[in-house]
Amino acid sequence: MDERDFLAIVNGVRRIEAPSELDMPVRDTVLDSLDLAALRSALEVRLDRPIPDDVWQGSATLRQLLDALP
Amino acid sequence: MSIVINMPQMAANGLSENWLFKHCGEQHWQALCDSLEVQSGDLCDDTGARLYPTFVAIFGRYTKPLSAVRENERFETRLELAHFGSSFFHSRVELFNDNATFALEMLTTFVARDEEGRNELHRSTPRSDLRSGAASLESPPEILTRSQAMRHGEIEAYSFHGRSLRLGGATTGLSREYEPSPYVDYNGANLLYFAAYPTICDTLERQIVRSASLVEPGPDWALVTSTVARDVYYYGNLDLGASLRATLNRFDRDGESVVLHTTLSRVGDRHRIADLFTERQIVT
Repeated sequence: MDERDFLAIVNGVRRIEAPSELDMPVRDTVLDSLDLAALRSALEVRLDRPIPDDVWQGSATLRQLLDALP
Repeated sequence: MSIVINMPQMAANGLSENWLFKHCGEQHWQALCDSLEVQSGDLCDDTGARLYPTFVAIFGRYTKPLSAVRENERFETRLELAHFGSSFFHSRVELFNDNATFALEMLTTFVARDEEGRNELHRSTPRSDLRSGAASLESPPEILTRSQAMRHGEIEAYSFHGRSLRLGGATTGLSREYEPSPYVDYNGANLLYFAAYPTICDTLERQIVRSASLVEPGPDWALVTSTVARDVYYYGNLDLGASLRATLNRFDRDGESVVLHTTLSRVGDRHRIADLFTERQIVT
C-alpha cells in the first residue's frame, strides 16, 4: 500500500489536515480511539487480513503503521 | 428461540427495556463468540489480555410501545450478525410476534482493562489467528459513522425516528445526579452495564419531569408514556461507587409523542459517558 492509498483510507475515517500528520504521535492526531478502531478495520478490509497487535500497538505514528503494514 | 413474557421480562408498564437490551445483547455476544468459535471467557487479544465487548451504539425501533406487551405473550428472536474488520461486530436482533417487533441494531467493539480493579479500558481486538465466520462488511455501517460524528460533536441536526433535532443549542438546564447500584447496574466484570444506561436515563428523566412539572399533574410518567424509539451512544464507563449526572438537553412534546435527549456524564471529571435519544408515546 502506498502513501496515497493509505491517506485515502485515513481520510475516509477522519480527515487529517496534512500529510505531515502522518509523522505526529498518533495520540496527537485528530483520531480518537473509536476512529483508530475504524481505521484498523478499514485497513484490514483493504488488506483482507487482520493487523496483528504488535504491528498496531508498535506504531507510534501513522507513518510507522504504513511502513509496518504487510 | 421462543420466549414467553413473564414477570422477569416486564417492568411497571409492559415489556422491560432493560431486559430487552440484556436479552438482545446476550444474543449478539453469543453469536459473536460462536462466529469466532471461542468461549466468552476465553476471548483474548494477542497479548493474552481478556477481552470484553463494549457497545458503541444501540438503535431501538419498536413497532408498538413497550407498554403494549402483555404477560404470557410469546415472542421469537432472530439475529443477523456481521463484522467490519477485526474491531467491530454489527447486529440486528429482533424480538417479534404477529403483534409487534422490537428491533435493536447493535454495534460493539472490544476492550481490555488498563489495570486490574479499575474501569480504565483500552480498545483491542481478538487474537489475530481467530477468524469470524459472520458476514464481512466492506464499509463501515452507518451506526459507526454516526457514532464517530456524535463523539466529535459534528452533528448539528440529528435525524431521529423521522425527526430532525438541532443539537448544541440551549438545553433545559435540568439535571439529576445518581450513584448507580452495584447490585443492578453493574455487570460481572464490575463495569457499568450497557443495559443500565437507558434504565438510569429513564429513572432520572422521570424525576426531572416530575420535579420540574414538565407535564400536567396526573398518573405517573412511567405509566402514561412508553418508549417506541431509542438511540444510545456509549462513550465511557464509570467506576463502581462513582456518581453520574443526567442532563436533560431536550424535552419536546409533539402531539401524542415526547422526544427527549439526555446526556450522562461522570460527576468526578465531567466526562460525557453517553447520549440518549428517546421517543415516548402517550399511551393512556
